[in-house]
Order: sequence, then C-alpha cells, then structure tokens
Amino acid sequence: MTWHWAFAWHVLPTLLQGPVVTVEATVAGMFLALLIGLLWAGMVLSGRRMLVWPARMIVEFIRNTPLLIQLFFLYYVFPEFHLQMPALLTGIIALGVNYSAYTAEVYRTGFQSIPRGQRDVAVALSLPPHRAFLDVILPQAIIPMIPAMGNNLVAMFKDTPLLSTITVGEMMQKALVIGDTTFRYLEPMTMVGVLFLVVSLISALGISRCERFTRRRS
Amino acid sequence: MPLDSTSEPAVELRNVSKRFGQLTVLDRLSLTVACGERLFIIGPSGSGKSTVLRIIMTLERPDEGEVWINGRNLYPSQPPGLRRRTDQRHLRTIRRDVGMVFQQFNLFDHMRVINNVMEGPMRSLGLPRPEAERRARELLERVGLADKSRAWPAQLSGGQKQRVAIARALAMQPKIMLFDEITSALDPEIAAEVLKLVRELAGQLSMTMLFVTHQMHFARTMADRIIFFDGGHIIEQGPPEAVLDQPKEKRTQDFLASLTEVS
Repeated sequence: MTWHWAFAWHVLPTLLQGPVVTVEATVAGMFLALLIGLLWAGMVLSGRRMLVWPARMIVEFIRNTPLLIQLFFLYYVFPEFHLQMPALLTGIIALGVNYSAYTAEVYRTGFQSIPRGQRDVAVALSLPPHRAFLDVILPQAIIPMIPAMGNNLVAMFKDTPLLSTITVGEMMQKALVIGDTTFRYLEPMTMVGVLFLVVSLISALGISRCERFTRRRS
Repeated sequence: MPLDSTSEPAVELRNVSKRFGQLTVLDRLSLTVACGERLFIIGPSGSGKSTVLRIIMTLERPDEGEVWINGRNLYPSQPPGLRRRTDQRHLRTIRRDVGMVFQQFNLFDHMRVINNVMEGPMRSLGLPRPEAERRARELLERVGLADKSRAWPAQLSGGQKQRVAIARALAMQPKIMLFDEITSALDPEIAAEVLKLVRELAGQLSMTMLFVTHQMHFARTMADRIIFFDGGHIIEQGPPEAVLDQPKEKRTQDFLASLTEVS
C-alpha cells in the first residue's frame, strides 16, 4: 500500500472537523476534573473520617477501573436507568470524573507542600479561613501543581480517541468513518496521529513556558 | 513602663496541659501575665517554651485547662453532651489582639514586602487599601526598610526578612506580642541588630510582650520578669537579677552555666 497525497488532501477537511470536538472534550473534561478533584482533595485534607473515607474509596475505585469501561457504563448502562445524555456530554463527564482521581492527588501534594509556618501566620494575622486559602495557600500551592496538572491535561487529550467508541465525532472517529467507507486507513490514521503529536507537543511547550513564568515570579 | 496590676491580666493560663502523643509538653501550667508586662521565658530546647506561645496564639489547643486573653476565655465550656468543638469565630476575634513573630520569619514569599504587611490589616481588620498601605509604609520605615517595600522576600537577607515579619505583626496593632526565638535563625551580628530594633520599638509601644529566647543579655535588659522553664513546668521565676544572678534552683543554675560555657 502506498501513500496517496491526493487522498490525504481530499480527507483532510473532514478530519479537521475532529480537532474542534477533541479540544472541546479536553477543555471541558479538564475543567470538570479540576473541579471534582478539588472536591476529593478537600474531603481528604479535611481530616474528618466521614469525608476522608468516602473520598479515598471513590478515588481508588476510579483509578482501578479502565476509562473505557467507565465510558461504556455511562453511555450504555445509565440509559437503562433512564439517564440518557448526548454522547459528547457523556464523554466529557467520563473524562472529567476519571481524571478527577488524578488531579485530586496533585492537589493533595500541592497543598501539603505548603510549609506549616504559612498556615501559622495566617492564624496569627487572624485571616478568615477563605482569605487564608485564597491569599496564602492557593497561590503558593498552584506553582508546584502546574507541571503535574499539565501532564494530566496532555494525558487526557490523548485519551479522547476513546470517545470515538461512543460515537463522539472527534478526530479518531472521523478517521474511522473515512476508513470504513473508502477502505483506506493509512492516510487518515497517520494524519490523526500526526495531529495529536503536534497538539501534544505544542501544549507541552506551553506548559513549560507557563511553569518558567510562574517560577521567575517567586 | 509601669505594670498595671489592678486591671485584668493580659494573659492567664490555668492548669494548662498539652500532650503530643505520649509526650507531655505542658503539665498543669498556670501563668499570669500582667497588662504591659515584658515576660521572658527561658529554658532548654524542647522544654515547652514555644508551646506556651503557640497556645496563646491559638495555634495549639490545650488538652486541659483554660486560657484567658484580656479577660476572655478562649475555649468556654460547652453544654454537656455536646462534642467539644472549637468556635473558630470566637477564637478569631480574641486573637486579633495577639500578634506573633516566628523563628523562621514565615513571610509570604509570593507577595511583595508591602503586601505582606498590608495583608492582615486589609483582610482581617477590613481596613481600606489606602489606609493599610499608609500604615504599612509607616511601619516599614520604622523597621528601616522603607526602600524595600516593592521587593520580594526572596531578595531580602534574613535580618531584613525578620524586620518585615515584625512590621507585619505590628500592623495588626495587637495588644499582646509574642516573640518566638526570633533571632535563632540569624547570624550573631544580624541578631544583635534585630534585637536593637525590638528594643527601640518596645520603648515606643506599651503592649504586653512575651519572649522565648536564648539571648540572656537581651532578657536581662528588657525583662520585667523571667521564667525558667523545664520539662513543662515553671522551675523558677522573678526579676532578671534574681533569676539570672542568684538562681535558687539547681536546674536553673545548671542551665545558666551551660549557656556561659557555650558563649
């Protein structure tokens, strides 16, 4: 089988509809993961047994079951309980919940990296708890979190092709459709791979830039 | 300044005990600090000196006993049957009167010097920004760092950092100030400068001050009363001349002798 440029150019516009959905799913999924992960981390760090244990169990459960099965469960099993959602929304929720288990861990280590003295001063200055968190803890916790959160973002981005299995029209699914109708997989699959590579590399570069910028300020 | 023994004590501990696991750090400690008094706590490392300050600052909660600050009980007893829960809002109002300077400075490294000093007045006392800034500038000037207000803490030396920390604590205008080994992390000459500054400030301010320190000369010249502390107990207390020059207790004598050997 030889590479046909003409065919590649022909299917490119169709493939390029994919990245929009891929990026949408990644951005929304990551937003969700950051939000839910903060919840788990907050529960674990609260130190209250009633909150710590449920959070730990949920996180372990999420981490020890495959994303694909979680995805199928949401898409194929939930409707049996009359909980039907559009494919893309299902995919975003699955990605968000799955990665929340990993962002939770990043939050936890980030917050625990703050020296005890910083909390002591927040108390000594009588700062209200939300101010201590927003002004003292959070800004100092974010910097060490950036690389790890960035890695999660790229990992999630690379997990989005799984959404093709539940009919989300992202890049991978477009390539599959082209392959199934023309019986040529070489060009569409290669181009999807390259597109992923390009976007991953660009975001990795962006993350290290961002990290360097925040490091310089402190 | 004259001690006001007629009014309420600034700080009162009643039978306070504190344990960390198996270790009893404070054992039924009772201590009264008069308004405006300058009290120095000395003693070997690990004797529980800093824990006394941390309990007054509400950084630690005693396992037993009562803590009174300016006539207010930090942990009033709750109706029986209720689980003992700390009323955070109650603590926050009381501890506004208390400020603390730490051994490790604990500056907010992500804020400029001036913002370090403004944070408490703005976020805790609710001062408007211009007023907090005016107060911060004035204090930075008093600690000799007027030209560093826009600097980041990472650009300062240890002595400068501690000056900022002192300004930050003073910006809250506390009635009681706690100094927890504030020069232990500094070189001797720098330490002397910081102590000189504290002495100057103390001359201008009428607040109650509690020091935990190993600087005996500083204690001798500043203290109204010195407490020698060991094993969670007060071993001996009195005016500086009595405790430092004619200690009655063997343990005090041994401790003071060990200090002179070092220096």
